[in-house]
Amino acid sequence: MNDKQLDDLINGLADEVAPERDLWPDIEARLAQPAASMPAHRPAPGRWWGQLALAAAVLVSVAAGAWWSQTPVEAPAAVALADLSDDAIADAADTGWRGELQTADDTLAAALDERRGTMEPELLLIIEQNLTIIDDAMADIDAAMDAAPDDPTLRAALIDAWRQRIGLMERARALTDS
Amino acid sequence: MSAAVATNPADLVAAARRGDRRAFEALYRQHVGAVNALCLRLSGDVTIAEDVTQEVFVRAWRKLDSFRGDAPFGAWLRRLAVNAALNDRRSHSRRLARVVPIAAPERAGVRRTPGAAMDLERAVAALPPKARHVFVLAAIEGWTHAEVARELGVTEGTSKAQLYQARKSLREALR
Repeated sequence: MNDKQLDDLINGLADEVAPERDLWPDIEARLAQPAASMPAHRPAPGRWWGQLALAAAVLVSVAAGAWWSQTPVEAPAAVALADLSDDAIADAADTGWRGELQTADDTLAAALDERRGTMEPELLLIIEQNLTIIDDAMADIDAAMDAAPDDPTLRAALIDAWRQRIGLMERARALTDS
Repeated sequence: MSAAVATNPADLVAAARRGDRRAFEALYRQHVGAVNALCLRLSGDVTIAEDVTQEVFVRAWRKLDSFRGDAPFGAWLRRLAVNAALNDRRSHSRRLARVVPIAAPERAGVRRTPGAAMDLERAVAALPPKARHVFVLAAIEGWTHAEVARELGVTEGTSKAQLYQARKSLREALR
């Protein structure tokens, strides 16, 4: 194919591609929420591990929100940082926490792929919701670290959020294995 | 009986600014196809595109006061879409895409586009992210290399090189 043929194809692309589903109901539901509110969905009752993970994740998210809003940088009591030494924090950062997170994602995806056929849709939904909450916290921390990349408190919070993420995935895998 | 919803874009925007969600829904219906197309091409994934498209309209609602009307509302939305698609730090969509079953050919999101154009959409989706972003903005959206470079945080030379490589890859993929 030559450049002219490629340009002709580009010019022939559709201006519009409709989504596969109507996005408006979800958009409208979000419009009713305050801008900084958490996702509306919550795990169904009776899933103790999901509720625990959610509660833990929310604590991180709230903490991250406080940093992001430029309130004084102070480790909230909700985030368990006491057992993280400076060396452990430095090691985690130096060895590439992003790579660790990606590995964790891959681990979860592989585990869920193997079990998808037998997994209850409700369980899959709970996992997704909890991951979303933890992701929000990580994104907040990540954004805050743009301004303060060497802030040890932010770094520790990110490691803590990462630990919660791993904990959630381990719980999910254990539950689907049982 | 509920009040009729205006159809004129300026009237719809004005009504939406006053908090009229029906007017904003009308704006959504008018522009969702264009916004989703842009998000789909930038992300290369149907699930991510729909998630970002949703985010664009939520942001638009919250930022309506900042829309001054200097440019058409659709152009303002497209700008929001580019920002949302390129700065999607949440990565929830990417993770969700791994969790939700994916049937590759259908997930390319180009079923409505027949023949060679569909092949081009798929080939664009398969480009490396940086090359895809440059190609979509420069070759499809018509941005200058200076604009692309500013948006992506690269030099104009890098933008040109990425576009050259993208076009080369597409020509080879479509031959």
